[in-house]
Amino acid sequence: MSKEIRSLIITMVIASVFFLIPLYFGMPWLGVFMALIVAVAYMVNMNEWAKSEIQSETSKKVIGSVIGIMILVQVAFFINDFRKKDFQLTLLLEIREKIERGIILAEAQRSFIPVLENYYSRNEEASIEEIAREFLGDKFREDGTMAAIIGKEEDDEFTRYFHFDNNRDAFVITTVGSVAPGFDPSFENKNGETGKIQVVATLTKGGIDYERQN
Amino acid sequence: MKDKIKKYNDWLIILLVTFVLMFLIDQFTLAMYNASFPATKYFNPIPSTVLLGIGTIDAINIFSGSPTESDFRDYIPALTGILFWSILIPFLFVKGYLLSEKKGEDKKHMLWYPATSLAVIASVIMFGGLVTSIIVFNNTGKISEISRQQDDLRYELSQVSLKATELMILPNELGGGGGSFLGFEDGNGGSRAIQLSDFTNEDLEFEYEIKDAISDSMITVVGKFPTGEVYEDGSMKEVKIQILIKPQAEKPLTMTDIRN
Repeated sequence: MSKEIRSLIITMVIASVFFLIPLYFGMPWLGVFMALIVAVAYMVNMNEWAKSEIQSETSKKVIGSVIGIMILVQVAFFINDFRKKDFQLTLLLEIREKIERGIILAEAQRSFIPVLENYYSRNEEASIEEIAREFLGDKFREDGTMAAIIGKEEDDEFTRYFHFDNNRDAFVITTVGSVAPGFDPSFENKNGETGKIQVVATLTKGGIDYERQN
Repeated sequence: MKDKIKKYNDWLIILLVTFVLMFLIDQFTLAMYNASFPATKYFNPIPSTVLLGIGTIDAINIFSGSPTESDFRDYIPALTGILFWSILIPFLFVKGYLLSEKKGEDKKHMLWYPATSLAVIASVIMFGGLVTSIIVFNNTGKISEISRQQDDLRYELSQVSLKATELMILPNELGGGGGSFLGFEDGNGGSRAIQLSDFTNEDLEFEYEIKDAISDSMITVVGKFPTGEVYEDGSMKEVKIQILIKPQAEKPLTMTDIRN
């Protein structure tokens, strides 16, 4: 086996080891970075080899330029891609957060507005709780959770808790989101999860109070 | 003249071989799209795009609430890509030149043609890809910023409409319209239509206006923000979204984008 073939195989083995060790520890970007360092060093070495072995000045210039562009492309692509590595996840989680808080707000509207309207328009006196049970009774579960107000039951990913505060004649819904992170990643949600969106919406005869807790 | 053309003959062949190779790579990649072993993915010239692809699939899974599926093996194409394009090809490229020089001044060794073509793909062609990638990413950033603001405006419009609806229902003694958008007290014993100041405050991010035609059971609120671009007449381009609020209707809210 010639010296250069041996050097080629050794370089490939070193690049593979430098790639696989960080990958094993869950750091693929570091793995690619390390393997690229080996590759760049090898390309520089190839250029030096060409300069010492090749006589033609034109050939030397062509080899130097092509290898130079190869190194530039690999390094620039790595930097550019590394810069946007979290772009998709951040963007999608932002969209998810907007969808979740939008649904929670729409559900508050769908739950509370008919109750509030009925409270002021009906002739006989009734409490907020009585009207809420009349309108949303089929959504209330015995364990204190609520079924989805919008969408199908089987697609529902949120957890909703309801209770009535008889002193204030208030109807309270606490909703915990499913995927999107809230403001504080260490926030303890009512359903035992951590860091998810949590909103408390309260209906009294004075109107709607809407508080995003996380 | 003949000598001049002869001088460039080898590079014309390289040009031809490069196009043929790119065509073949493209065709193989398409043909193997659904194959159980898509071999071409192991020859990706840009290893970091392999990682971005995996990251995108993971991000979509996280977005949809599913577990991420990527494992150790998915990253192997990044390594094989580096081994092939950044180690083997530079070696063959230089080797092709060395063998050609040994053969004689005007003759190229057979290895020189494919090795140089692949080196051209890994350098010049990929350089074009790099420039395109940077431009696309910067444009995506600009577009997603406008899209982000549009989403925020839609959410804030929903908040505004909830407040407007709530006020319309509340009785006059609680500052409401007593069941009508036209029933608000004007302070002189008479009544007036709902005003923007009744249901908006300075904490809101966007600018709002009520469209003229307010009825007792319906109002239309328009929210807007400038995009930063300017029309030829000097006026600012704006994104506008309107929401039709009809609390007693079966569909109480209807949101529409206004194009200008």
